[in-house]
Amino acid sequence: MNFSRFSSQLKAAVLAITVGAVLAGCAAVDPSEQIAKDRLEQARTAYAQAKANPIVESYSLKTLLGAEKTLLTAEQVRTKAYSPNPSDPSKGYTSWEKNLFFNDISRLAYMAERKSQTSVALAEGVVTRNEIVKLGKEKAEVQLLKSQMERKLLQQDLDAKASALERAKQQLASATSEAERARILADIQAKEAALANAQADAKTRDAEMARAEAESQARDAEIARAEAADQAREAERARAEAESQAREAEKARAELALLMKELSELQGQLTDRGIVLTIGDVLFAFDKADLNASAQNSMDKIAEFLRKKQNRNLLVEGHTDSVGSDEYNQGLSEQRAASVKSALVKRGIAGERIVAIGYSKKYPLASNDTAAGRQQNRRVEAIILNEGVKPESQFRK
Amino acid sequence: MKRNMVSRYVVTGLAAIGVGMAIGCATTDTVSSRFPQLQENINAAKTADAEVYAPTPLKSAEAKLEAAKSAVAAKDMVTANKLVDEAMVDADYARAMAPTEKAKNAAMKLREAIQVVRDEIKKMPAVK
Repeated sequence: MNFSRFSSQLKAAVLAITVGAVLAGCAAVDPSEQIAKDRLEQARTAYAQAKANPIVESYSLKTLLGAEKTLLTAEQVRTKAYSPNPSDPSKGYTSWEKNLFFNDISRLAYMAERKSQTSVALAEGVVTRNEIVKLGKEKAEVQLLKSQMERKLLQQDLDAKASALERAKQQLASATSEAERARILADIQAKEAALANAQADAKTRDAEMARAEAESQARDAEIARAEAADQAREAERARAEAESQAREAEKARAELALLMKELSELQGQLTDRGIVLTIGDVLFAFDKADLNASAQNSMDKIAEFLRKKQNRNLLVEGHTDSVGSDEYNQGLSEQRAASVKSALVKRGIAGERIVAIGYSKKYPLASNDTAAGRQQNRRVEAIILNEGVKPESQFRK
Repeated sequence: MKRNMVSRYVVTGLAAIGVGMAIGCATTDTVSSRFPQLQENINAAKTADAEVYAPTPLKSAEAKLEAAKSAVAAKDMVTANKLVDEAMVDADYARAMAPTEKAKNAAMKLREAIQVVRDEIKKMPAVK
């Protein structure tokens, strides 16, 4: 009796908590999911704005297309994150996996937003620089107009002063008294001085105008020179970039050659995927997955190499001949690859750097019709991948 | 039956690889090698006067570079990679934005200067 009352109280409490949780639904959203949502929304807006801006299409289409591609990838990850888990549709993704998805959406959306903004900034830059050229010309024109008007006003003043002087001289001829003559003479002298002053002013003004014009021409020349220098600098930058790429390629080649030398005892083969070391079946006990004693030496070498090159990961592929059932060969190839991995892990290499996979008889090296060919096919290939390459990307299709 | 087994193997393999991939990126340092390029990008933005004309994206790029260095030190390569990716586009944006803002500023000053001259012309007495 007592217990059942307690249990009904418990039920009520659970119900209350559930209702509360539903009401507080928003607050319960995973913060990384919320960030992913917000950033994706911002990216969509920024991209739509950039795309709707006609100057972007004319001047920075490449950057806009980059933004579009990144946004598309973000949307694809989003679709995947909200789809059922393909490996187990009944369960969906774990919260850890979801978290990875949301972080990736955040990153991609942020990049798409920035790229969209960059495309707008680049296009606006081109438009504004063109406008500056136009405005520069307009300013020069307006200043010229102003100077011309000032020059005209000055000329008007000069003409007025000259005619006043002329009038004074005529008055002198018709002067009747000595006193009047003296006054007019003084007036003429003053007017002559004023005219001379105005003429000197005009001269200075003309010289100034000529100087300003020369300056403006020099400025135009300077702009042209700067533009040429910009182009030269850009060309130089492109050249330097090409050179540094060539240097890097050379460095990579040299490094590879050195690696090859280090691995020559293991008889590695240089391929596009990396350095392929073939561990023949003589290194495995017959029909067993265990490595025999002579294989241990090879394992030491590979382990030492992986320790030295922390940026390189290892893909271990097990292969068999066509003798025996598929299940048997699949199992054997997996076990042999796994035992190479575990031999390396025992030597202190991080297990995360090594992926072991069995391919059964799917990728023979030689014909399975002869004993020699079959022996060649029974092998484990350890592929030391190129720097930074993840093993799963090198998975055979 | 056979096919079922194989497909189960493939699924298991894929799952293992997925986990391996996540852990692999989480611990192997392929991020530090990207720092010099990012720093170069940030420097280029500064050369373009981003400190004055695009301070927000520039500061964001610099802060994320520092945060990425801390993440590498803490062996959190997933976060470090994310930060470098974001800082890179921040720096790109600062590099694009700074000269544009500078040009906009110059254009505005030119427009003002033109207006001043036009006003002076208006105030001049009429030419006969």
